[in-house]
Amino acid sequence: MLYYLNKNLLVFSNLKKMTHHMLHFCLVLLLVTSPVAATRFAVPKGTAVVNTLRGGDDKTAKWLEVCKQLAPVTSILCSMAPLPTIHKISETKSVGTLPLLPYSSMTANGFIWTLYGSLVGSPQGMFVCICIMLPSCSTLIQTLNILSLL
Amino acid sequence: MKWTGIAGAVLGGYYFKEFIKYIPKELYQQHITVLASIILMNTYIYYMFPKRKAAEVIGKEGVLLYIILFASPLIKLKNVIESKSAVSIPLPFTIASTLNCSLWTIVGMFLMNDFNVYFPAAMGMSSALAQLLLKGMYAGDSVAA
Repeated sequence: MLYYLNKNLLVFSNLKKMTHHMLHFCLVLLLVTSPVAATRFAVPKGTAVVNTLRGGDDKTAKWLEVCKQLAPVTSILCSMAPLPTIHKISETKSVGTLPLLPYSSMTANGFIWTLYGSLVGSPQGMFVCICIMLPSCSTLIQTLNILSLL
Repeated sequence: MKWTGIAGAVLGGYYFKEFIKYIPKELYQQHITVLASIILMNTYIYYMFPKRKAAEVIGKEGVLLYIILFASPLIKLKNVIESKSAVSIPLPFTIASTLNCSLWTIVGMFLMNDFNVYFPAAMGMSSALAQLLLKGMYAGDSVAA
């Protein structure tokens, strides 16, 4: 990894190429750490994973907690990825050859995961109440919007 | 997961709304019908089914839709291999997607121990890794572009 980083810093004068290779470096890092994590943290199905890890290895539990906090952030970032494309469509007033399926399936997917998240989450506190209320309201608004279009 | 779902649904709905402004009605009519059916059906399941049963049914639907969502970039892969050019694969999104799916795989497997979370995430990760591999193989043109 140090060799890879060193090679990047010395060889590439161009910023674009540098970014490209740094991203590759991140990927290599991820690929190296994932199998290590998979073998280290593997537990039998049905085991109370968090409790086992908390009891056994505090560092591991902390690392998993970081993953838990980061996962929704990266998901929202991924959902925001088509924004430039949509902005371009609005500007040019043409969709070109782009398909509609990814956007309709993304809407349905987001809706289904909202419901699933509400069902499997622990219903405690006002925060969770808001989380459960919001999908219901958005469902109603979406349904009304869609019905008005039919 | 709830906030992620809300963000996905709201943003997806916005993209959909903007997209259908510029295409003929007959092209999006079917999508709207299917979307409305999914929303109505799942709302019914959510409120009427016992909680555990509802989670099971909605979770499996989520797995199916996740596969559809991640299968669409796979169609690109054939063209990439044929043309030997990875210009059509957006690198930042693919990296973000790999990271996102890896994190959800880890969280789903080791924290939630939930098949409905880690299976689609692992599928998505494989799809994103395949894209990254191709991007690496045919990167020459796309980097310069």
